[in-house]
Amino acid sequence: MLNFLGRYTAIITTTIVFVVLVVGVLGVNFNLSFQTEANAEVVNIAGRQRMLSQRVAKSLANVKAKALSDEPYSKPLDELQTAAQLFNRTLLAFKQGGPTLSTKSGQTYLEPVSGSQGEKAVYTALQIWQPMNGLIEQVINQLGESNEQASLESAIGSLTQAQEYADSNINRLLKVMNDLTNHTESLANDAADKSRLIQSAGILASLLCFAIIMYLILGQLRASDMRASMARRETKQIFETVDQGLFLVDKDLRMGSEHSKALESIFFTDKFENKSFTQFIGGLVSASDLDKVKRYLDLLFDPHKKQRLLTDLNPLKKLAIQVEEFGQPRTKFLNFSFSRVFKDNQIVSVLSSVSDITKEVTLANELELETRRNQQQLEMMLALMGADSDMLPEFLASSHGAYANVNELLKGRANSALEFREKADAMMPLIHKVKGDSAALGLEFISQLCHQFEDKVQIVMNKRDPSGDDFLSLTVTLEQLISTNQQISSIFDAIAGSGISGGSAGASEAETGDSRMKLMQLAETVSQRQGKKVNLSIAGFDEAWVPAKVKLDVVSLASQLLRNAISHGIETPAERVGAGKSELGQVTLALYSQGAQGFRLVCEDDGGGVDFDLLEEKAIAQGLLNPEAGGKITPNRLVNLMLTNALSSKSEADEDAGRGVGLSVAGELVSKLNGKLALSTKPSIGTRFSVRFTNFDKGSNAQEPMIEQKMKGVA
Amino acid sequence: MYRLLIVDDSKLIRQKIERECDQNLFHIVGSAIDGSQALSLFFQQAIDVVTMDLTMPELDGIECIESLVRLDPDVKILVISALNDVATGMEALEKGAMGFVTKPFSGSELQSALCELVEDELQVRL
Repeated sequence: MLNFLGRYTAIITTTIVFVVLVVGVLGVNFNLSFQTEANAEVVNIAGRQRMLSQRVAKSLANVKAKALSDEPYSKPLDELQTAAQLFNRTLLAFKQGGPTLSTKSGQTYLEPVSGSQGEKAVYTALQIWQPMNGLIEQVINQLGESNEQASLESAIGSLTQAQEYADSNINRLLKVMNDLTNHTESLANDAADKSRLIQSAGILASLLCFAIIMYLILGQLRASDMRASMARRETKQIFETVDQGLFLVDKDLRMGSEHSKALESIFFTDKFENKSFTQFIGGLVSASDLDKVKRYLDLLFDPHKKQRLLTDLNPLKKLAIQVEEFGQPRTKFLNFSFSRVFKDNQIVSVLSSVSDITKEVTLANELELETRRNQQQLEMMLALMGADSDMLPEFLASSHGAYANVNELLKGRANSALEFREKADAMMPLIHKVKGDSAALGLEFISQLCHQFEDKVQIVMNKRDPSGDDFLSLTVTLEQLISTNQQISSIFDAIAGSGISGGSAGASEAETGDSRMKLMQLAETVSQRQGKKVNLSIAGFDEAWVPAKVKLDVVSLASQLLRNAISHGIETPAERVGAGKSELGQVTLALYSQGAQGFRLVCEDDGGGVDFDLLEEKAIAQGLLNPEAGGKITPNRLVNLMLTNALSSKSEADEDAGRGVGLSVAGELVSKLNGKLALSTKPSIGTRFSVRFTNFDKGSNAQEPMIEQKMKGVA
Repeated sequence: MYRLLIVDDSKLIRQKIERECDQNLFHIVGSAIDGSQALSLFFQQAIDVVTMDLTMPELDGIECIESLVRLDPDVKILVISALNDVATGMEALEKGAMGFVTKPFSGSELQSALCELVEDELQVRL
């Protein structure tokens, strides 16, 4: 407030002076107007004295004429008396000040005449008048007393005397009165001149003041205009220079009139003013995100919410938009941040700042990718260091073969939907085996890639009309798998060369110990993923004699059976408790030698048993069985389907089971190793797979796959 | 001292909040593992500030916030939740919570958020 006054002190002072001057001039003027009126009256009265002196002389003549002709003279006598009295009174008033009859009506007070000329005139007039007045009074007295002849004669004598005096002096008196009139006139003129002068001076001063005021006001205006335009220029410079897109959004979510230049280059438009922000952003985000933006802005305008504690909810923290730059479409990432703008403690608008964070996002993504790649390599290293050095080359060779086969399938022509489906069907078990093997070796990243591959194949198989394009994404995953294999080879070679790996050809105990660990890990991973509680007992893997060249296959078979036991056999903890069992499911894997050249692999669980009804239903649904044409459906037939075809009782596929290829891989392994598989199952008691391998001498490659099913106690 | 109630179904998070919050400014009057327990604690004693998880068994955070605000419109609620659903976070604020902090959070993040939550009153007190 004081500042404000300070800036305007000059204007305020000048205005006060101006007002005082104007009021002063008006006051003086008001006063002078009275003075002028008074002066005019004095002039009139002085003029009246002239007229009265003449009337006195005239009345004297009239009275004398009437008296001589003996006519009544009272009227002219009265006139004489009145005129003489008024003249006398006024003259005295001129001399010493006093009341007299006004020329208009009533009485007026005369000041003594000022100025030598006036005083002289009054003095001379009195000298002339006083003897004349004496004579007149004598006449009046004589004529007024009685009508006696004697007094009349003496009165006429007095009259004649007075008339004579008047005749000889009237001209002088007139002149003197004239002088008086002129004098009072000049006095009045002087006063009028003076008042005009004062008025002019006042008006001039006021005008000067006014001019000063105008000058000061204009100066202030110019200064504030300059300040405003400077501020505007600075704002403009800031707006043209900042990297961020800046603009205001008001309560009605309209964008303000000003925005920074960067906003135009971010959005390739300059039409923002008065646009609805939601409409503007609506073109860039989905409907549900737009709703979030609106709600977020509403929260920002709510004074009860803490601005800083809202930032985590900002839906526009990282907004991806598609733009075209140099004719190339590309994705740009934008970051919007908002802060409240207050006026008088009220949130009037929100300042929005937009920045292009594409570089940051790209860098972060690259960093993440790099980190993941490093992590993957580290994982790979660790897995390889822990992996069975005997089994790894075997795995690499077999998976390489599988990939080559898949690649052939992908390359080969297919002309009909049926052919495409056949291809997909053929790929499934190949990849599933790699998945099982890698899991058995603890190469989790490979089994994950395999699972991705299976997912993609499943999508193709589910298509009504699959085409060559659908296989494209499969090649990408396959390439990843192949390159992973190459990486493993090089790392493995490096490790083998440096002798870091614990696994060497002779350390067979360590190897079997490794297999045990892998199977334990697999059981844990699968049961966790399935939400089941499982206790795995492994027996005989340390002691059993297994030829090195079939070891990978045996462990692979064990892991397929284990996977199957946990995902199909063991029930969920809730189901188990419901069936009166312990929450913890029991799975036993046992490997023991049988005879000189044979061994046996057993996988047993205390789960719910094989649900043949469900299997039958699925088999019919998948067209594997035709109830009308296919004769009797026996459990044996269903198990056969389970082991040879893609038939699974699981309703949804996951990483562990459900595609129905797991057991078919097991079946293939059994036939490859010339084993004999026996399955026994009982509802809610459990399932037992037992595989017997015989004649394990040099020629262990089975030419004729043979699977034997022995069903015991099937309901 | 502000009387603080911690609501979270995770014991770890509750302990972390207890450990990290400024003991000179906040007096922890209780911890609840879900909305209904929070409500019964709220009935038993005067509470100024609440830290609230959103996904809990029994009574979830949103419903709990609604009830707390209905009981005491002046209660200051800070939502501490994982940010997998922005919309739920927004709903919590629309129902009356004053701020949102994303899990996981650091000790200093929690402290500054709690201070921010009661800051207006702090200014008056100073």
